Amino acid sequence: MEPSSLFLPEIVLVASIMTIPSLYMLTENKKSFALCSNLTLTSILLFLIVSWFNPDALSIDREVSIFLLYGHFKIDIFSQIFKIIFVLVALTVSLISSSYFDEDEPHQAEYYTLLLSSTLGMFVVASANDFLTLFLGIEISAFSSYALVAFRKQDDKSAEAGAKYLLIGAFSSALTLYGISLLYAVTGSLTFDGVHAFIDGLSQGVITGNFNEVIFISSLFILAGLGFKIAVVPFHAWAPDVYQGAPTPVTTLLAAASKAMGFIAIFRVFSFTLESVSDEWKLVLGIIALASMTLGNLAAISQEDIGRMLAYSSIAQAGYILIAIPAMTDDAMAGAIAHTLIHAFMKGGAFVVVAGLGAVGLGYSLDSYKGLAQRSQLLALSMTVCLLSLVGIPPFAGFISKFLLFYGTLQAGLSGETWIIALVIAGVLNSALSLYYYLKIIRYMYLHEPVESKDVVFPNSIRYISLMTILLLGVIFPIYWQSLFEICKEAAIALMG
Amino acid sequence: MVSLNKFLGFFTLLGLLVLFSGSVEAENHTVIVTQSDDFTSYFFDPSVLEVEVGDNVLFVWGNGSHNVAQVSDSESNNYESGFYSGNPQVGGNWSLPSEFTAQDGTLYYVCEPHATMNMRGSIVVGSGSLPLPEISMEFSDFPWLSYLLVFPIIGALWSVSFGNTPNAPRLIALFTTIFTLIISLVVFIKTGSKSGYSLMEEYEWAPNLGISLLFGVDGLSSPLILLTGIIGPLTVIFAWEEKERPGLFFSLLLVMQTALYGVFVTLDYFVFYIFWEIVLIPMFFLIAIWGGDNRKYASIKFFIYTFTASVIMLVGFMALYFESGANSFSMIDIANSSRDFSEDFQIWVFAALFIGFAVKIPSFPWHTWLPDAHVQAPTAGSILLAGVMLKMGLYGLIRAALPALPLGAVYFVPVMVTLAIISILYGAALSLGQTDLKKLVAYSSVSHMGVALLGVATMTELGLAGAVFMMFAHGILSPAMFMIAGVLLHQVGTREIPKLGGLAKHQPKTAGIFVVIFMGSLGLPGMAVFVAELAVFIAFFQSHGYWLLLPIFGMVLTAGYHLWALQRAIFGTDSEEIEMGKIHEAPWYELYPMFTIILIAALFGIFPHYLMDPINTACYDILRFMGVI
Repeated sequence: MEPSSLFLPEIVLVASIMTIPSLYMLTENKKSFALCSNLTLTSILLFLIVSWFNPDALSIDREVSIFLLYGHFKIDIFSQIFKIIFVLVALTVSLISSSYFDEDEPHQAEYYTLLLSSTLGMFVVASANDFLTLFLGIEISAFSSYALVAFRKQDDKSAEAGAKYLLIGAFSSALTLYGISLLYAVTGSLTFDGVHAFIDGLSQGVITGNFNEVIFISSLFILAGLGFKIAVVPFHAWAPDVYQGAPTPVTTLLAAASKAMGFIAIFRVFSFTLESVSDEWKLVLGIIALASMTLGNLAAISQEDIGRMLAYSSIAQAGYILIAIPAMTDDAMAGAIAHTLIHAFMKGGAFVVVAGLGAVGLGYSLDSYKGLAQRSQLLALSMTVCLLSLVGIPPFAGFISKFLLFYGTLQAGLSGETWIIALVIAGVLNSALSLYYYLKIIRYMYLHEPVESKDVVFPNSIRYISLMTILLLGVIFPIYWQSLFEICKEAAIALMG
Repeated sequence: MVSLNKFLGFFTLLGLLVLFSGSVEAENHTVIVTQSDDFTSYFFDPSVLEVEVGDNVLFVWGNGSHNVAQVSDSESNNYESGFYSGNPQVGGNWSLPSEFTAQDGTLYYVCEPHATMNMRGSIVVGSGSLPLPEISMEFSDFPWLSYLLVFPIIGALWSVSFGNTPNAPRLIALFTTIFTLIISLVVFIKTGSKSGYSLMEEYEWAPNLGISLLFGVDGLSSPLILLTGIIGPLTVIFAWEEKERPGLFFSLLLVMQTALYGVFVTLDYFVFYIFWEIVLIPMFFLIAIWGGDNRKYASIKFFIYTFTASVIMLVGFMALYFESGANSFSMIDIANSSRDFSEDFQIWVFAALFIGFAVKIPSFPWHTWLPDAHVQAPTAGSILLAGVMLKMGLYGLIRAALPALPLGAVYFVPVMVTLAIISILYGAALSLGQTDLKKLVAYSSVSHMGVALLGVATMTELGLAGAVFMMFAHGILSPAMFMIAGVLLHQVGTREIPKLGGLAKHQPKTAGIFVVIFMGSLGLPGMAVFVAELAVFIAFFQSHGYWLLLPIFGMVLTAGYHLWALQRAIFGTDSEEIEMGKIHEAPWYELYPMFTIILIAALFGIFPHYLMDPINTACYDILRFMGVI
């Protein structure tokens, strides 16, 4: 087959994005949109998984990167695993949306269209090989999410969250773009390889000139812009409001997939493109990581709304992942990738349960989790597994990815820069700190009586997805984590060249 | 004048003589390079030679054709640099160039043709550390240890599947725990007092990171495995009448048992950490669901306290892994490279590990979670917590920290001694002041485990063995103390000592058992605790002299609070606050476990060697490995 067949997922996505609005003209049946979106995402997932396990069928080699569209589009192991994660999350969101929204919820056609186009943007980011494609991908995804967040426009909170997200998103895009333009002015190139080569030459003295300040400033701008996307301190203020205000399936998408997309951009830019001037931005990144995890965890303790609490926990998790980037080694990068992947599962799984409680009308305050175990053992167990994973308690998957992350980073710290060891220790202590608020939810679920005695039946899609989450985080990843580590290592090598 | 000159000259000569005699008195040593007549063994005699700086070493050839070539360490077979006697020769001799014995250190050498037949030797110059003793490893044909880990899990799944039916879960739990007790006994007997690890099993898990499920037992872990086995069925029987969600309750007990076994059989730092943390999860739920009035606070405090400490420990484990460079988390591999660790590194890492272990021991000032957790936990939880979980800390210290970090451990001896003595005295003093019997027992645990920590801190064979014996003895007797508190709550309705009194007349059998258990716990000769305390105190006297008076004073306090509590609760006039007519003997499922415990404590108190022999071997091996003896 042609290597361009690797472009199939994106093509199918675009086709489906055009199909759903036309379906809207033909039928009033709201189930058909969900069905179309589910089918699209399932077929893409199957395609990606089959091509992952049988690269020969597509006559590709997983070790070698493939360039499409004149080198603007790169297919490598790094992009492929993230695409699998994106499509998994999007499929989950699509599945729970049909039970979360009522039958008579308006604008469902637009909802699924936007969901798919947001996924398309993430796909583009995963494969982007130059700054413009990256920016384009981020914007495709971001614009769709702005509309998704404000989807329930009659709901004040949803509209407010949408407006906030739009304003801050636009601002951060502008910052990123300004940083990119500065880099372009200095290096004359927009591709990652081109900028990398120029800066490499600069640091080795092949190219003369004093561009340190410009590169420092541009990396700060890019960091600020992308920092909004992954919500790290001090660019985090939007996250709690948006996570709280958006419909929960959309929050799932933001927390699990959008965040990973931001990390892809950060990895591509900082771990590869600007790698040889790491001295310029290393310390800044380290301080941001430290501040994010500490403030995120401290702020999460006092939250009363589950969305806000998980948003702050997300901020803290972003801080953990960031500590691997200043370490600049394959192992640390592999740990960062692993934790980004597992984070998508943990947060996704947690928000699926949140969506379940929201769907049956139990509400979003922490109090609504009281006595969940009596209502549904499955959902309570799933939430427990996700939360203990987020803390990093063995034997759950979160422990393994966090271990890989700290392992790689500590190795780099011990063999060179000692200040990185402090970051690892801070991360470890923060994990212990975070235990407090996660345990609070677990305690509510198992030890308290329900606030109101209301008989509820949770939708099947949410129960099945919860069961999958338990199996993945509690059984499959812990047993096969050697493979997880190998894949992430390969991805890290593919990323860092 | 002349005579004065002569006089001075004489002294100068004398001075010079004295000055020189120190350095010229070099000794000559001889190493025979030979093989046995039947060509079965090739050896240097002596294979380990200890010389002083500046001594001469002469190699004399016996049978066969050999040479002498220096190698980098006790494993390597290839000559790279250093001394070399030339090509293999028959007969003759060769003297080691003097420059090689000019400074402290250890020289390893082999005979090149016969290096693979283990013809190797070493010369220890001056204070040069001795070559590391070999750790013998014996793999097992039958996966005994895996069965130990798997059966309770199966029982747990089975038990939880019955939900809230009253009978099935407890029968399953009893059956499972008795079965694992039998396996534990087999493991204990099969391990015996052999040196090194036996019944080993290895399953690869993540070979790229050097992580495998490496199981093995030695004289240090086999008593604790036996202890876990014994406590299991006793806990189940004692909790026989558990009415609230029995399926979940017994399955958590069984999960807990697996995790505890896991901690004691694992020889891999990473897997050790995993089991270490898994222990917390069932315990958290046991306290949080079935606990007392203040259970929410206690369970969270317990979880966060111990988790914080253990993540610091994890960083220490990772540092060990990277520093050893062996790409393996195996405790054996990392301990084998312990000689390469610098002292600074060892001190930092030991500090990290010690925090993790000290919280679990628990040692002053990290003991505050214990009284809360104990008082709030259900009796079955307290039994497991005091009986087995508290032993994880000291076990970890001896297993995971001492062999890999000998210099760090020696550096921390004063800290450990201080903390241990404070724990003994402070724990005993607080016990004196308690009115709640359960809280009294909790603080007495702090005091008793302080004695065990003191034993470790002596760094002598007797002290270490006494500490391990104490772990076993306390692990047997403190559950009995908690059972007493449980019985009082069930049968009398209160654990408050001032409200009790005169129970002996109304429940004579139960009261008799109480008295024996209290006596055992305070260290009555003939019971297991006495043996341990005696060993620790003798060792401490040998290593620290009259500082012994401080812990001995602690023992006086111990006797005080035990006897005082007994006198107030069991004897004396009838209490007016309880209706004496309603008091009955404890039911069979509460009496038998306590009676069994008395039998076991007496058995090992009268015949301590059943336990002491394996413990001694293991402690000797560990200390020899550390280079302390």
